[in-house]
Amino acid sequence: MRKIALNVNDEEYSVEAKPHHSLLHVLREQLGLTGAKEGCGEGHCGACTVLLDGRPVNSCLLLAVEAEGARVTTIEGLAEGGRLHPIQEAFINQGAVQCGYCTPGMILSAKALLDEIPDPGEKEIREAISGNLCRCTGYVKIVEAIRAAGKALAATRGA
Amino acid sequence: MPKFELLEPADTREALSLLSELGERARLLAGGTDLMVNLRRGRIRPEYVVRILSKEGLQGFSTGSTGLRIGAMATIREVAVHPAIKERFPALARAALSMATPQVRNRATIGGNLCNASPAADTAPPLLVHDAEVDISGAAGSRTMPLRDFFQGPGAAALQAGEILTAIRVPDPGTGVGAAFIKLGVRKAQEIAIVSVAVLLRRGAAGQVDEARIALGAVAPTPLRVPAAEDELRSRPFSLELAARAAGLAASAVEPIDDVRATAEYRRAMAGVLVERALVDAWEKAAENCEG
Ligand SMILES: Cc1cc2nc3c(=O)[nH]c(=O)nc-3n(C[C@H](O)[C@H](O)[C@H](O)COP(=O)(O)OP(=O)(O)OC[C@H]3O[C@@H](n4cnc5c(N)ncnc54)[C@H](O)[C@@H]3O)c2cc1C
Ligand code: FES
Ligand code: FES
Repeated sequence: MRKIALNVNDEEYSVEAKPHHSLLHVLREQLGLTGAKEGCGEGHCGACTVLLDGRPVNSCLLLAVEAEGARVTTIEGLAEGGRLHPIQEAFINQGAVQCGYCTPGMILSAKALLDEIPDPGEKEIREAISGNLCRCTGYVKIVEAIRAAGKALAATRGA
Repeated sequence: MPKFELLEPADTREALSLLSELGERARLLAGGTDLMVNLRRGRIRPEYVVRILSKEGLQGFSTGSTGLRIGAMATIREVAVHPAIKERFPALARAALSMATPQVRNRATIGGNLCNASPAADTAPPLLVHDAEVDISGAAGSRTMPLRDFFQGPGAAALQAGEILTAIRVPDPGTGVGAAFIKLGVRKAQEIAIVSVAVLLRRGAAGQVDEARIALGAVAPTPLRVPAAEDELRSRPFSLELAARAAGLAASAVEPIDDVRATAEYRRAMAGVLVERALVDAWEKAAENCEG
């Protein structure tokens, strides 16, 4: 066992974890944050996507110890004061969620994109979610939701 | 994930002494995007995984008079967006950007891509046409070798047990040089190459080819250069016929295999097509980079 200090969604956690456990495992099984999902466990599906210092990574391929010293953001950290994040709102409003399995990872990839490029074009959006597979939606509504979220965020920034 | 013991040496020096002591029983962890998958699939079963705490000397980029040094643990994303790489080594930037997914590129390292020694490693062809060299450290000392000699077979890099790849050195290409990278995959995102091609051409004052280098990925046991095709181009005035001839020589030099992604025959045919296309592309870029 190894003691691991994690900063997840701006909260400090200290956990005793097995050194070979992935960040995904520790988030789900030890911190009870089940938003990140295990799909493939091999870096292909993106269901396990979290942000590490603001950038999307596959938490299934990351040892939990490697997240020490970094800021981890999971889908649970996006809502503020009981209000959904504008990207979450947009996914709901645009009907970009069906079974929902891909959604947390998809939204986090979208967040990383919009933090870097506030008004992305379709090509940039498709590239940003190229590591997130969705079996249900056909992606069109997801792309629309991300574009709408970009506009909503720009409006709040402008206000 | 199968069990292993995690060792966390403070720096490269400590890691080297640990690795030399443990030999085949230990594996170095870089970005983990190959290692974690291989561990999970049980393809490798090391007793120890070694994670270096301070990556000083293994990360970052430095440009000197002779060229660019890339720390082995620079991430693929960093390589893709680095201004000096985009400007001086665009084929490498492009290869990095064409790799995997945003998530993987944020973790995967350029050193890991080379040490994993996949025939399809995307950063290999552009580095090969730039005559890159690799710095390798072991407990006994350091050495530098051409990247060309580094690939020995599928999954086999020229590393002794306990050695670490510390940096990649890419000489400055100089003026009048154009380079291109083209990758063919089944789909656009996160696809291992069916064929990948990098080309570097230097354009002489009289419109002749002063220097020609061609490298291919996924069409032989290792990424490789094709000297016969390069010789065909050197010192000749560039023309579409010449490019087609060289491409034909490149296609006959490769030794592709059949697999789930493509047949050997298709790979060979596409190797020719892509080399021809990359030659034309590189020649145009070389013209743009001519002084005056
Ligand atoms: C979903 C997915 C898609 C992918 N797509 C592509 C693709 O399109 N193109 C492509 O080329 N690759 C692809 N890969 C493979 C992989 O991401 C790359 O090869 C990556 O660059 C490996 O780097 P890493 O830092 O993650 O290596 P690791 O997994 O950490 O290490 C790989 C191996 O190299 C050794 N090693 C690493 N660094 C060093 C060093 N400095 N010195 C000595 N030994 C070292 C390790 O011990 C290990 O054996 C993909 C992987 C995934 C999971
Ligand atoms: S579970 Fe991590 S990428 Fe599929
Ligand atoms: S909504 Fe079902 S996988 Fe995307």
